[in-house]
Amino acid sequence: MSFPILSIRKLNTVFHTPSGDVNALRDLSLEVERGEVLAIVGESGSGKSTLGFSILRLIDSPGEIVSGSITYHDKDGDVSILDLSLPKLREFRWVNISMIFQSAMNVLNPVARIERQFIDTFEAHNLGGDYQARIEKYLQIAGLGKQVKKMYPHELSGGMKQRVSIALALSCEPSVLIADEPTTALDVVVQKEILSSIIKIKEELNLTVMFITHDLSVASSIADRLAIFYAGRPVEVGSAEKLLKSPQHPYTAMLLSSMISLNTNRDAFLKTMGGTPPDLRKPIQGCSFMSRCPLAEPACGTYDLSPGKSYGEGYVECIHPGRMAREVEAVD
Amino acid sequence: MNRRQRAEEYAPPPDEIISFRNVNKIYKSGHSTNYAMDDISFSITKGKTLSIVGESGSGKTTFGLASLGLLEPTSGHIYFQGKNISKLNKSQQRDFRSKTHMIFQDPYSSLNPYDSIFTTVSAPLESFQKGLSRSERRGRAAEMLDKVGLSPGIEFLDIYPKSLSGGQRQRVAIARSLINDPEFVVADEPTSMLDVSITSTVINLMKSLKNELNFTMLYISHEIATSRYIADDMAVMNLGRIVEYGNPDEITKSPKHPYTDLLIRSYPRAGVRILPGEERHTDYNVYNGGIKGCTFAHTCPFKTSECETTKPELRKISHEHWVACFHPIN
Repeated sequence: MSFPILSIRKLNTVFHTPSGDVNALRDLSLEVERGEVLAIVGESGSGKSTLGFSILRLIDSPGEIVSGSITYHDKDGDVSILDLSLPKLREFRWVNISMIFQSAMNVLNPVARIERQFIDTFEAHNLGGDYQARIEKYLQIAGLGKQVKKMYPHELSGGMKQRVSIALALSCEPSVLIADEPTTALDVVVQKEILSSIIKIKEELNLTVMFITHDLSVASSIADRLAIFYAGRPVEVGSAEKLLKSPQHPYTAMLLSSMISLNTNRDAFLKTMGGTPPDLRKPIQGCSFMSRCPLAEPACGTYDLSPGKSYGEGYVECIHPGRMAREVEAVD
Repeated sequence: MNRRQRAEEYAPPPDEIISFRNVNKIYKSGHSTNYAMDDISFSITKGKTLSIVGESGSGKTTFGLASLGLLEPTSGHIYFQGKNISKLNKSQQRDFRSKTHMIFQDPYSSLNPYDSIFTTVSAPLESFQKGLSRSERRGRAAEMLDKVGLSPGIEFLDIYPKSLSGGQRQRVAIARSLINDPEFVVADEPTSMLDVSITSTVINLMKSLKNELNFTMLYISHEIATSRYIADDMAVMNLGRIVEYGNPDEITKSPKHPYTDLLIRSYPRAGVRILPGEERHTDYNVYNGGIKGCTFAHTCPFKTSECETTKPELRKISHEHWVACFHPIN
């Protein structure tokens, strides 16, 4: 029995470009469970950020959400995000679902003190109460002292700016936090501290976190479940532990084996994945990974993407799940 | 030999290609003073790959740019094959430029969008091998493109960067850096803009070209696993100083400097869970400005009063391992 907080069904987001429509999300269905950390893992162009932006309806022209549904399961009933009117959407955003953006450096207004940026947020959402106490509370949760509220962004280090943007994202007490590559621009030491903070905050505030990243190591060190994205769809979804141990999709297996770690054999060449992702301007028949997959066979070209299917615990979009991992193991 | 001559030229040991002698680079802005290089004395071994690992602000890029003479140190001297690079005459300077090259971080901005791949890749030949005809240059460029895995190279010559992917662009940048048979190449974060699946192919390529063409490489990165994999020697930088140096396996398996240890412990490992409240709020990069003692003293769990007053020098602790610390980890 699962209790999703977000259900995404057959979502299609398209970017209209002069060279044709790019299908960034292709009939994507996904469920986010209440209270989990779900990591969305994928390479550039796989649609992982587009999904985050689509959920908050932040897709701007030339992008457009063309079809599908996103349902937020609130305590008081379901909210269909794509059907909200603009004023309703403004009320909904940040109070229910908020987002930490990739470049903390560009999120903050450089000419306003940190406290001003919080007050702007509160005023936009008509929140009453003691602003100062509220600001201090969220700065503290994000691991910052209260002296920070009087500071300007240029006085803060990259890690501190990212903490401010985490505090801002939490300041309206959302249930769901979408974190889009929140640590990509940071150094490893600070990265680990921020990730650890996010986990702590998640437990304290009972949040659901959707963590978008290109880094499988980072994802697997904080997520309960992983969704591996490829060409605008999740090709494999499952518990982080299971997925690392026995990847079912060839793409996941190859990603795992091409990862560089501190134990990689220095005398051998790294394992690589040939080819490039498919052109999303053209319709894709069957499996999107076919052109790079060593296991590809004619049947893959007619693979049915089972439209509308909802993904529970464990899902893979492949006609020979698990075979790749078994073969890699056999070779090693 | 008097001191002045010594500052200009000396007979280098046979295995040395670049040598830094008491090099400082100080950036001043407003009230803050940043030591991007804090009295660095260090040599790069000929024919090896040296990787420099450090966080942003550690001075690793400054080190790389200075070694190519692309920025002037505030004080100190840098020697290439025994010659002081800031005291070269015109023809020596041309010679130095023709023997050194750089691969930049971002292949989207390091290639001129208006230049064809041929123009880009053959630019070093045009500058340094004036005798070559256009068809000879085309031949050499095509051959080089084949070597970096853009094959058949001849088909890439007349296209423009816009039709190439990030990985392909970085291959073009690598081809350009190697076409004139340089002796020394600096690669500054060459894979940080690339996707995981592309990174390994580019690293493999650099490793095999290095073995085939036998140049010296300075590989600069914040990513410790890739640095360890590609390097023969590894140096760890913290706030403008080299704090640990030696064999990459030794450093990553048993780091001696507490800073290196922190870097390695913070490196994300697949499947190793990060726990809540593991943070320590080490915002140490704010502390940069002429530190008397050890640059890591304010965060270090093992610090003593000595660490705050005396600068630890790099000293040899085993066959292939040097550390600048009074209390190295056992």
